[in-house]
Amino acid sequence: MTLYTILICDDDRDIVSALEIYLTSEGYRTLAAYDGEQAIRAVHENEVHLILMDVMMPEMDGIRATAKLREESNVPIILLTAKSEDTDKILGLNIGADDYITKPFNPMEVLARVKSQLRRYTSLGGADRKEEGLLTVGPVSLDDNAKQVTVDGEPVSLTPIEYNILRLLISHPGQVFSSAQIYEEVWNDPAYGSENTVAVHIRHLREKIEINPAEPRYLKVVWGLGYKIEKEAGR
Amino acid sequence: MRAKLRLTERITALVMALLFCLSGVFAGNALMARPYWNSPSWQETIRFENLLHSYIDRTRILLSSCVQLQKAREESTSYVERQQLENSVKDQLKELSPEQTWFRFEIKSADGKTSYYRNANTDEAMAVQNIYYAIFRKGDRVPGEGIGSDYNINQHGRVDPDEIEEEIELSGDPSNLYVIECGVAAKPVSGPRDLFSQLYQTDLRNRQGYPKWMSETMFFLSAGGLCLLVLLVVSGRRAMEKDYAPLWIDRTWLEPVLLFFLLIEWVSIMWLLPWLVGQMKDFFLIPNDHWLPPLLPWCMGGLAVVTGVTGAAILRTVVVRFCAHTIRTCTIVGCLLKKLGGLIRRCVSAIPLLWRGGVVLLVLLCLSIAMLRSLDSRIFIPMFLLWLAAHTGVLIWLCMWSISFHRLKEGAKTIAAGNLNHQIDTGKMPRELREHGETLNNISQGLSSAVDEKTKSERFKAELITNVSHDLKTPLTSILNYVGLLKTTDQQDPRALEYIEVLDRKSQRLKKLTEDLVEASKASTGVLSVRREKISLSQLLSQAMGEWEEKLNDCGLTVVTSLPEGETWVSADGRHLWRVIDNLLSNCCKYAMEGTRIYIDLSRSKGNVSLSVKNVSREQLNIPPERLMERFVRGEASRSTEGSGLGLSIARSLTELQGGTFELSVDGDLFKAVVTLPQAG
Repeated sequence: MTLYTILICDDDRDIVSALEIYLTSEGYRTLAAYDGEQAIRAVHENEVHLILMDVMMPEMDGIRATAKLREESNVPIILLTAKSEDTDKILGLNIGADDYITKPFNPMEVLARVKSQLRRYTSLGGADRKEEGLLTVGPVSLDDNAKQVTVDGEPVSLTPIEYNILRLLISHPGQVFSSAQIYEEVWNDPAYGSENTVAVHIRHLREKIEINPAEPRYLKVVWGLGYKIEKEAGR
Repeated sequence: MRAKLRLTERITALVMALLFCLSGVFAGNALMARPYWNSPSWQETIRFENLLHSYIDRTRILLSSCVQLQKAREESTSYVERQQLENSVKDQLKELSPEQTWFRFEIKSADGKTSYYRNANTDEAMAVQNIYYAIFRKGDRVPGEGIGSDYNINQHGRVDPDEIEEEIELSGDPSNLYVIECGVAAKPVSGPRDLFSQLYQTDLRNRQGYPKWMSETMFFLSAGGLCLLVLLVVSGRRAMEKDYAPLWIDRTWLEPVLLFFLLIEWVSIMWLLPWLVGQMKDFFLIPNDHWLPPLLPWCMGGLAVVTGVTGAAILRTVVVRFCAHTIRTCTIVGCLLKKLGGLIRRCVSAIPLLWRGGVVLLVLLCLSIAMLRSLDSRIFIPMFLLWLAAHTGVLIWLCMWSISFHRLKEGAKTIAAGNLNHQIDTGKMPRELREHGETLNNISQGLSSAVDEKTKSERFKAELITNVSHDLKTPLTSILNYVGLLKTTDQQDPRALEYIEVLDRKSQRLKKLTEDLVEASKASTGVLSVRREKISLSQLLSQAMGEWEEKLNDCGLTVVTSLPEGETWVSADGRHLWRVIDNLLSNCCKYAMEGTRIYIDLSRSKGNVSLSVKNVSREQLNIPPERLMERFVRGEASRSTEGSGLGLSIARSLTELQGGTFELSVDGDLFKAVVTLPQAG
């Protein structure tokens, strides 16, 4: 297995050392930087496969550093920050980051996201392979011919009902389906009093697909209206 | 600092005075020469006639002396007497000789045939301009005279020869009569210098000098006028400057100054000038040896200077006041008018608008009646014009009012629409409307500053929340990380394991508390964005059930829901409403007694939708519901389990943010929360 180098950039040294410990124990090589300028220099001088970048830093903040880095490379960047407003998330993702984790974070979640991003960057090459019958949203791909679902390249086993629900949602990304509509589509029966079932199935599906089911990135609940799969991450 | 006339003004004033003086002098000369100019010739003047008569008198005396001499010779008076008479005759003849005088005379008999004496030759006789005649008669003594006064002169002056014949006939004995023909040459230029030639010279000088002096007077007068103009322009320009400090004379009341100067002018023009002119006219008649005449032109010059300078001063002060715009403030009349105007305005404004309108109507009515009554009389036209003018005035006033009112209306609408910086232009409005406009402007200003204050404080609050949360979360992250790392280390000491456990729990609690706190303050200060949509509450509930059902079952609770028929639509923000329900259900999990049921009911009434969550509490609730909803107040007084105490507070803030109400009620062990939201569509 190749040794991936991960650059950790945060002005709080304790967080950097903690993350270093977690990442090295997973077998990654780590580099440390404490502000935007150092991060850019590190990327120029070394071969880096992923960057964990904090937003609030002196000298150059994470957003500007991301913008600058994006001019030269498309190394995956995960932003870590305490700013959890929607506007901040949207800004970060628009600038060019691939993912966004709010502090305080669960280190396990960080690790899972790092793995997911690396998989996508290295094996999937960052380009969408649009084949017949292959529906992809973010890390989730559904192969309707093989009736198989992979998340970041790793296959996930779903029940038939869950598969059908996912197929319905993933073939219309961004569209909201109410519980009644989902029920009628998947069970082919008129829906009365069946909303609970749909909700439960959605919950199971979410736990299988999302890295952090409590904060879903793709399979989202639109409260009071229904469910949908997001086209892009985080929106 | 006293204001002074500028140098240019002074110089101009001096030059002007000089010019006026010169023009006065020349005017004086011209005036004095005018009688000469007016008379046809120098021999037509009274002076000449007076002089001529004095010479004719001398001739008479000569004649009487000659007659006396003759008599003396015949009567053989004493030698001395005869000698005296001879000497006197000789002297007189000498005086009247052509070498001494220009007076030419011939003594003839009454019939003109015999010429007794003549002092001119034929050429000279031809040069005489006018011939004067005198008739002498040998007769009584003329009282007051000495020798040779046997004759008196009957006729003076220039007479026609026909009149002489008449006179001769009337006088009786022609042998006693002598006729004198006399005269003076028209141009006594080269010859003896006597009074006649002097007279002629004077006349010639004046006659020639008059046009010259007149033109010079005009020239200097116009030059002086030009100087005056320059002075006025300079003073006026200076008065229009910003830092103009007026002279004393320009600062005081205009009327006294004006009156004073006008008085001077009046005196000089109405009194001194006629007197001077009279003197000059008199001088024409008076002989040369008076001390006044040479001074007269200078007196005239002086008068001209005084008049001119006074006039210039008047003009200058008026122009300066006009240019400095003080003409209204520094005149008595202006001040009075202003006070009067102010008084009238105050009186008028004291009367309310309604009464004023009534008075105006009444006045118009009276005017109309008066006009109609004067229909046949002569004053109809003026009355009609007055009536027309009054009505036009009222019309104009009404137009002004309506235009201003319209402007006010538009301005108020703009302000009400949200443009708080809009200022209504109160330039040309009637007084009441202008005050109203200014009030509106003040209101808008006050509003806009209040709005600015509010936005500033809102922004400050929002920034505070984000900064504080960021500062709290960063060290918290480290704590959680390292506690996690600690858990992975190999600890033999069971106490260490226990301590690590405590640390882990408490740091998790701290994390939850921080998140809840930020949420609560955002919700209560209204910094959260609320996007209200039409939401299906039944759908939302089923989604919530999907999330919570298992967890609730794990807590040993069963959920009983009762939903009405059909869809229930509310106008709310889905995310926030989910949070509310999430909080309520999580409270159930934490505080409800195991084995009991949770009742969730949905009802519709009167345009509102109510969602109620009821459960049986595990512990005794000895806290009133209001207290429960406050922050950090939890059901258990001991605060030993997890939970921040913010859940209900957040739920209430979020509900109210969406325009709904949140109520709690406690009945024994039964805990009930009711969320009411407005129904949509």
